[in-house]
Amino acid sequence: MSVHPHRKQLSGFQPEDVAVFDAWFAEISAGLIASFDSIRDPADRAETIVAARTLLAECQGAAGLDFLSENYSGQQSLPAWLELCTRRRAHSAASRKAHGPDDPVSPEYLEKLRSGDPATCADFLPRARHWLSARLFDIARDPRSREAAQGVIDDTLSDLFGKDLLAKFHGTGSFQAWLCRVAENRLRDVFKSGAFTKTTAFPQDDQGEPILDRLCPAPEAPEIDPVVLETLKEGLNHAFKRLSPKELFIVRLVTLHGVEQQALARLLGVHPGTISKLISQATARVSQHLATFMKSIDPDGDLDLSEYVGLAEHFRSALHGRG
Amino acid sequence: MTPPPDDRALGALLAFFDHYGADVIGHSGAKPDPAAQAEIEQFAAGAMPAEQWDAFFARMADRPEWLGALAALLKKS
Repeated sequence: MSVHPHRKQLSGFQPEDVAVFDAWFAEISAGLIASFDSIRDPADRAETIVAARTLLAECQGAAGLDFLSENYSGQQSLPAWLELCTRRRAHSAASRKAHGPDDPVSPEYLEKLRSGDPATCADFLPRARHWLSARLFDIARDPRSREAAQGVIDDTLSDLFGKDLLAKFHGTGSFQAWLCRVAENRLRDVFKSGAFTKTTAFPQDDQGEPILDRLCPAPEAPEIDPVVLETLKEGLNHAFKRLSPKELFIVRLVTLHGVEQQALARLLGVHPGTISKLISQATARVSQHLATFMKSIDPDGDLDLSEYVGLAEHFRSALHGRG
Repeated sequence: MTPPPDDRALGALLAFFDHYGADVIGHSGAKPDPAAQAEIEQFAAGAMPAEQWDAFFARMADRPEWLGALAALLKKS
């Protein structure tokens, strides 16, 4: 007989329950693996099945129950969560493969970099340029986008020291992944806005407009990554469900529709500071729940709120553009 | 005036969520039905009894696209 344990039950399982859980788990494992048969690309399918088998192995037995208790939030069915985790992990693995293995940077090396040690800087710059080129040129494929990517790479490397961007790396996770993400976000901002940073050396006309804007078609909208898109949707659904109807009502009116906080406070008979506080608290809770959900899907992920905001804006403009 | 960072961040996430992240996709731009419109006008005029607010907030949470009509009234007043 199948049992479908909820998350709360997972942490309360006794040793004798493990066998029951494993029997049920074997059922959904087979279903999960079979569901990936529909992936057309053989390499993608193989990658996804490897990710699924690894994840399923981590969920087996008593250690697996601990793993699930810690990572599975219970906001969706366990099979749905397993599928999303698998796709996210396979996606990360494919991304690592495409961009090369992580090139580790030790804390001592970073310290020398921060202090401006000439030999370390001389060693670092070509390494970092290689990381960033591999990542950004994978997104920027036409000549104009590549020129923008080159500008972003130059700016990012320059800001590491000139604007002390290096100080913003808090030492959690991979430095290479962090730096690549910063540069990728910057490039996506460039694509989104159509404007280029000051230091991007594009020829300009008398009015200061880039001449290439007139000569070349605008770059195509960056591709929408369906796994990231789906994960973000799930994460936001998870996070916004935590707000009450009244909180949603207030934050939508203020942040989306531009209603003055004072006007709303008058109508509700509260001090304007109450509205402001409610919005700050709602932002903190959404940020926290979004981060918890994302960690449950991808334990290696370490995006902050501003990066989720960047993704949401990117997807919204790209999807809007398609519509 | 530039909105505070919290407003901007939450606004960007909500804008995405309301259009693409929830099951309300497709409702965008829909106008409130006459009963909802009357209720919205009552609330905007400050004439809705406070004990009815929670039910009203819940209805607006289900149909966030109707909040545009309420926002327009509040901005006028």
